[in-house]
Amino acid sequence: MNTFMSLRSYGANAEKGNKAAEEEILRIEKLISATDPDSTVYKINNSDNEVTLQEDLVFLLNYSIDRCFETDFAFNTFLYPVTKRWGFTTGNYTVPSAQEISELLPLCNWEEGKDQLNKLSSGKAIDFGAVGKGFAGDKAIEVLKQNGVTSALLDLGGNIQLLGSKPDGTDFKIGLKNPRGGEVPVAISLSDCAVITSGGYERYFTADDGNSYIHIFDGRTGYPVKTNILSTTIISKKGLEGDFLSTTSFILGKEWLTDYWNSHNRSFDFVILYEDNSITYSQGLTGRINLLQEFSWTEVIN
Amino acid sequence: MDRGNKLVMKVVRFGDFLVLLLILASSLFSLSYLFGKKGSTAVIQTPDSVYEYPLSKDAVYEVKGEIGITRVEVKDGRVRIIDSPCPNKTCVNQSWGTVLVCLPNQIIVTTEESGGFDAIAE
Repeated sequence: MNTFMSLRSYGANAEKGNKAAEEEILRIEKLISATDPDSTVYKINNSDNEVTLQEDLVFLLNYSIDRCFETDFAFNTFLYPVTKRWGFTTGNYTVPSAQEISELLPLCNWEEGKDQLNKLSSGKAIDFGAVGKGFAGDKAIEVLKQNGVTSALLDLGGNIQLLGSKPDGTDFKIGLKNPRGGEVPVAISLSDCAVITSGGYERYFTADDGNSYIHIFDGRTGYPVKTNILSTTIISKKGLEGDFLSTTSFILGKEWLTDYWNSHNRSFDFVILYEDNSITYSQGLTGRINLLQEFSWTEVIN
Repeated sequence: MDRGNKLVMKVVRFGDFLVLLLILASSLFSLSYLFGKKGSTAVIQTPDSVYEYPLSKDAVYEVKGEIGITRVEVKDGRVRIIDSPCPNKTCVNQSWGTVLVCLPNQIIVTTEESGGFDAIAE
């Protein structure tokens, strides 16, 4: 994971726990990195041979495939051939022609069947860029628990995962990044959960045609998402679910997220920031959320 | 002669101490600047722990440092050290402030705006 990581644990087992959790994150990275030639995913993507899959990888792959079908591939774990063509894997950004994209898109799906997780047809590739951090965070939190840590804050490249509450028993205070830069617009008091944000501001490039293209893609079209949403934030039990939902709601928007929320027992909460300086959040955050700037309007989803 | 030497030593020591204090204070100040200017929480760092107290509530807190107990008073939204086991009482003489340091007892008192976040999700 070529990303910033900070782990703050409290209590007597903090040092031991931190070390074990760090090792766990590195272990997961060795499984799922798309760029490390020694990783299992790299081997699946770049060889025609069958590859032995570790238990964690089988779980993550199954989870991702299910989410792909659940979202009609708007969330697409197999979009690597397209994002690579756009240059998001290398930094050599280009805008491909419509024809190139339509030629690559048929590779970006899963038809192999669950019994064939360990081999992909030639030209296809797995990319856990959207959910890898959340999954690694979940595994790290598990390891902290196993080591007797009851209070910790993990910041994995902007994915915040909380174990318990602060050592004094109060909630952690988590700010949401201002997508436009500047002061933090929203603060939320939370414990024992994951706080995951997706936004176009994280990575994008401006092409010769004057348009900006962001790193979050609609997996159905092979094009970067165009939206009036600046960022989506999911507050959920698991980082993996939060990663999936923040990315997918950024792609599919508020209506989809609200439906998903209602059909999943409202088991998570969310905050959406829009270009017109408005904000939407779910009612579960009432009393925990603190709006630190003037919003043009506020919508609380009940 | 002896007396003179001692005096020089003392001056140098005090100078060193001042420089250290200034470096610490300026780094802490920039830190507290990053987290906001309007103090609403007193943050007391001790060798073992970090304590946070609301500046809205007048109270006297006792914290354990390297050589003994330091007493910190919060009053009218301000904070000062009122008693310390250190020999020179520099920290007590600082009176009210946003960055209070007691090197001998290893106590640092700062104030933070309520916008002091534990982390930023991005």
